[in-house]
Amino acid sequence: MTQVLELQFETAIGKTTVLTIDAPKPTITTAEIQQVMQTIMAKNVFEGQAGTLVAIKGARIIDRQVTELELAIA
Amino acid sequence: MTSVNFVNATLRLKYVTGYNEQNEPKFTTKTYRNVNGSHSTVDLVAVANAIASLSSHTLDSISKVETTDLS
Repeated sequence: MTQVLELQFETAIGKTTVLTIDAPKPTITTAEIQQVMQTIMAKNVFEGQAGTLVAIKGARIIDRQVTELELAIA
Repeated sequence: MTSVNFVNATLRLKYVTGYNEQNEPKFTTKTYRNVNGSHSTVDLVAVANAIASLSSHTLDSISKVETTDLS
């Protein structure tokens, strides 16, 4: 199982920007995530076409299950 | 007269994901686009470390790739 943590921010013009982090720590808490998101907004280093990050919109962990299939390849 | 204009920059975080049979580290790189032209290096490093603190992989190095327009 592979996991990706998605941090969703609202930008200055009301669009959503997502930053993803591979293999989030299994022990991660919502407080830690919120603190990191606050830091990212406070430092204000990201600014795309949609403007700066102005608010936290949400966060989610995405699980992806990959199963390799055994094929008889000649 | 020449001028240097900021175009764009990306933040690259290099992580160690594990070790192979020869005990050499295996790396993966995560890129974050849309770094603005007004950031300070201190802030960029702080953000990089904050992002890396949420990952179970160990952060190996932080780099910045910046494109500037020369004329």
